[in-house]
Amino acid sequence: MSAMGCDEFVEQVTAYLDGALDTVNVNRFTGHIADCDGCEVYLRQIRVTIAELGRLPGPGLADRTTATLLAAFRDRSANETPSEGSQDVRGAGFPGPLSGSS
Amino acid sequence: MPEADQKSPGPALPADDVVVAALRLGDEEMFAALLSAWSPGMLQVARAYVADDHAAEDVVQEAWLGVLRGIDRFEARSSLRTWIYRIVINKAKTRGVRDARTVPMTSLTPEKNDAGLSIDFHGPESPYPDARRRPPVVWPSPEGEILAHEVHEHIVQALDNLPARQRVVITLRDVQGYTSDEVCAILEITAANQRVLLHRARASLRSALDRYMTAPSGKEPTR
Ligand SMILES: [Zn+2]
Repeated sequence: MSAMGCDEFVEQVTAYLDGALDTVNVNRFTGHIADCDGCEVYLRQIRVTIAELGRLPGPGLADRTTATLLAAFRDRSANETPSEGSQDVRGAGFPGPLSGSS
Repeated sequence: MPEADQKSPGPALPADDVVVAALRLGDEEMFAALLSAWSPGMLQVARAYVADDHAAEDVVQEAWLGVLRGIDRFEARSSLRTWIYRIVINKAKTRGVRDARTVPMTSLTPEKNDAGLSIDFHGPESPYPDARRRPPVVWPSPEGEILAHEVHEHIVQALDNLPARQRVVITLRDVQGYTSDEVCAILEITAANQRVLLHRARASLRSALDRYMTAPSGKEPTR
């Protein structure tokens, strides 16, 4: 089995992190790290990149959009007759943008 | 199979059949919980296909309305979350194509940045095909809130520059923390294809961070 070069190492990083390499190639991969400072740094930077992506603050829906969707949900529930007969008429008096067909 | 939502704040959602039954019965609290758990990821995914945050918000609203119309017919052939993400991606693609006819949008060029990873290396015709042009340099650890904030801004910018498919994959895998299996199901692609897209996206993001981290005194390098 041949030793892994830097170019192959870089190509295999994602497969390695996903646990998709077979045993032989895992050994070639980790063997390369032991010999190559540059690739050790590269792998660490990929891990930092992934960690930073996971820390990105997520955008939320605008309050207005949430209100519109909740109103649509109430509307839908009010218009359909659930088989259980437990119709809930909450939200009457809430002037949602999509209400009106009652 | 429903999976634990790694990033959702608050309590984990119950199993799909419980959620679906609650929605059909008009359980507004359940619907509100879904909105706050999944909308952030849906907005980020939609943003890969459309021109701006406003359009993404429209797309996500439309997608949720589609969910409400379709929930009675949901047959659980996929997980609920996978089904909902497919809806948002379909609507985002449609919107992106429609907007592209009027707005010049280079970000939708599919082959942009799709060149692969060989940029860090000499080509195969070089006497040292294996040698990096510039070996990776250790990054300084970012200190303090301001630096972390700057890192985030650079990441967001780098995401903006990715081709849509790479951006969707890295958003679902690394920003939202979904599994490879779920991302393959959402995009209806093979595991190998998914890995190639993720690989290219991560390599681009690493390069972007590298340019920022190794730039002297916070300036972009001229190279
Ligand atoms: Zn190496």
